[in-house]
Amino acid sequence: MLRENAGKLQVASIVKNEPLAHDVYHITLSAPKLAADARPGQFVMVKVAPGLEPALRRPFSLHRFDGEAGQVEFIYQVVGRGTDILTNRVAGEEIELFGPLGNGFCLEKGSRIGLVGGGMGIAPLLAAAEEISRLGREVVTFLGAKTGDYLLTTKDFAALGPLYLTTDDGSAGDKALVTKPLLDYLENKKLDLILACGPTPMLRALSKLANEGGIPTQLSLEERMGCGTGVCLGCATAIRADTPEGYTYKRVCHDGPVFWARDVLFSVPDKITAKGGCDHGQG
Amino acid sequence: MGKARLGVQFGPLKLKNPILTMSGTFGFGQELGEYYDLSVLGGIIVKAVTAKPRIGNPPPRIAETAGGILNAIGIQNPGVDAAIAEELPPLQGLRKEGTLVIGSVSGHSFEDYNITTKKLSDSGLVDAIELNISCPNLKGGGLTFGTDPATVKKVVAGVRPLCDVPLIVKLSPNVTDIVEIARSAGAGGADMLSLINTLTGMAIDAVTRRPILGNVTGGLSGPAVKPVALRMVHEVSQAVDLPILGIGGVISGVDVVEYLLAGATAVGVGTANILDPLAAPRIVGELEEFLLREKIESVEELIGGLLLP
Repeated sequence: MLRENAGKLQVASIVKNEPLAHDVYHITLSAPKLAADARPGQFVMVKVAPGLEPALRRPFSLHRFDGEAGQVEFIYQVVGRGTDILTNRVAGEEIELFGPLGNGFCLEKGSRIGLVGGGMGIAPLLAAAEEISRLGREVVTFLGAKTGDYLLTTKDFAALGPLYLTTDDGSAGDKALVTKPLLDYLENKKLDLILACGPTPMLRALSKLANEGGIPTQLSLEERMGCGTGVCLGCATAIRADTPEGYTYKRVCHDGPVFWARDVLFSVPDKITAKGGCDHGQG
Repeated sequence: MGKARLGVQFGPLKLKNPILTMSGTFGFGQELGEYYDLSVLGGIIVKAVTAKPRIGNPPPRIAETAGGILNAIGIQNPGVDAAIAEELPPLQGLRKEGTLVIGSVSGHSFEDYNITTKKLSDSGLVDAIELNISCPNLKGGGLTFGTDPATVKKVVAGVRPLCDVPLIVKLSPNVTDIVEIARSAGAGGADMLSLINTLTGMAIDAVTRRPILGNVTGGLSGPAVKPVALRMVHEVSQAVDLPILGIGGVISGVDVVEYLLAGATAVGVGTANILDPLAAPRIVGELEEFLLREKIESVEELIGGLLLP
């Protein structure tokens, strides 16, 4: 009765779950099937505790996975009840995972690939950096954060290629937005592809820059998520489309989380988003 | 070990078991069909469709609350024509296996409901149609479809002659007296009733001082609403002689039994599909286990079997 995707629901055991900086944690889990099946840019929904409190699983992008060791790693920030509960889970405990989900980054092309990460958006880029290195291609990384403490796992990135760092307060790297070193880099050198994850203002600025510069760019997006399977249409993001409105809402969980920057609309006209019609109920 | 009989007669429809998956939590069946064989279900009620495609509400569309979920999707759907052309044909094999495929119709005007219902019925691709009258806005006026008895009767009576398949009318709980609304649906020509749709609610972010949902308000579903839904199913079943599809916070086989006892003939699984992609088949299994454990030969023995003080 069960079909192939049912195997994405699996029980993992926690190997370690430790603070990385302030309210940011790094969790490593033993999950052989997931580690073998995962691709960079995919995500996993984590049931932080059994039962209904909380009821929904929490989506985390894969920070790293190792098929041989059978392990996966996530970095998460404590932003609410679910992630707070997760900080109390300890090594040896079992935890239910659902994944890998989503499309992941497309790494078919590009001999020199740029990674651009902001804040927690740094997390999924390490899996991409490791894969790009494995494929024998060049990786150049640009990371930005509020402060130096939030420039996560920079040593791991530095081991794989050139690394440029920025912070808002200048406590590490340049006191600048992460797009600054990227622009400087592009004055002299070329990137065939950019992969990015981070806060919306960063992605918006990067999109503009990439679209104007003609550099194919993939963005990993985040949205409040329900099911993870695509049935609830909860995690909608506006994507350019041939509709009367000029866009359509795609599902971050099922159609993404990675989209081409040229297709992503960061804001839609007010007249279209204005409320009207069937605004609640069984929708 | 014996085998319990799970089949029920839901109005004119024969169900292999009383479990139906609910509109808005199951797409058009394609996604969760990759997780399990959908023929294990009594039936599926697919995503609500409208006369024209609807783009849906701006995000965020979903918020978690204690024991439940608030959603404000806004009936995003490809429109009835695309549903008939693309979404419903792949489900026809299921019907041959005795799992019902039920369409769901939403609208913004009487005309919308009529057009969409007729097209779906004429397509021959659905075993029944559920009329979702929980939408708050009537074109050009302040009336609502699902909360005003006269409007409920009018919209149901309007689609009735256009609908050649059994008609299920889905009731909103956001009313003073759901029994009155149920009677109006019956007077309009409903064959069956489904209840409850979501309870209107909202969630607020204390730090940003903003509503969490892009739409400000949304519909609450999940275990948090089950006591309200059970009460309403009980009240309606006592007062109205129409078969009831009971909906609200079902996450286990025992929940299904409770709805049957309250007077439902069929039971919906909605939010549970969002919490766990394998919820619906698990619930079917748990219902059968309950019957075997309690030595109940047929699920039909439970319907309306509530012992009142």
